Amino acid sequence: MKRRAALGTLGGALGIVSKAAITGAALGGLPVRVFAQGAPRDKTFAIPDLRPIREFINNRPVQRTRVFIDIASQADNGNSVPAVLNVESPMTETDHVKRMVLFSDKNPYAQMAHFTLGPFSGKASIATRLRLGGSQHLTLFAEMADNSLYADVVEVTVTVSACIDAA
Amino acid sequence: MPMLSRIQAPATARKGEVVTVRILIQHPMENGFRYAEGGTGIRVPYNVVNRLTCRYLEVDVFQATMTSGIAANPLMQFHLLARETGELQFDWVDTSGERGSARHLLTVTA
Repeated sequence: MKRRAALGTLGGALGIVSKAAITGAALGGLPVRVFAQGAPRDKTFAIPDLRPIREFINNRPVQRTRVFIDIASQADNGNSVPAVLNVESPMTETDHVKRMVLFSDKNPYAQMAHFTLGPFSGKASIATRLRLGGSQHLTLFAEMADNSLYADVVEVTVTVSACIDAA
Repeated sequence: MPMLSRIQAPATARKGEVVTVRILIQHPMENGFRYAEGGTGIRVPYNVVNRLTCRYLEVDVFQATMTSGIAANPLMQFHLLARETGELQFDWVDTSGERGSARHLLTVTA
């Protein structure tokens, strides 16, 4: 019941009418949520105040829209957590994502990954597997061609953390 | 010993189509915290694939800089616009200096 309501509000936000209507093309290339129990979208988390993040933002305004980290709300094993990093963008010459930078507020290294894209990419969506050293907030920044910044922050609960020796 | 990898991308595509490309590289992505076997108490040094580039038609269509925040055996899936028939040339390097490469021919039909 709660999940259906969550999917409903998300669907409303993304303009999804029904499961059958999910083609991706109509949404400007934004893929549908791939995780059954995705990270909670009902709360807005502040961008963590870490030096690497501050240095990256460099006093530019950050808009909390267009960027969407698709990841499970609870990861059983922090050693490999699949995630899809999406940015809503037409990916044209004038309006495209230049780079996507993913930050962690718990891992030994704050910057987890940095991706360079362009109009040749067609779609701003990257899927990978992350290593999370504990329950934390992930921040994904998308820098557009005009240097504007967009971001998303999600909270992930990790049952067994990575980077901690079990021995 | 070359770094093993597997590319999953379509063999053919229509011009202007957005294709999904995936690469999986066999690499432990050591985070520097794991203790070596044998009970010596010595940690296995940090060693991750930190730069991955995909070049298609003289353009770097995908560049990734990674840290230990990416899981072992790094998997990267991205998209690219099919323009002309060409090879996807993947090159990567890890922090110990080891290099790896792989290629995939993408045939683009009109």
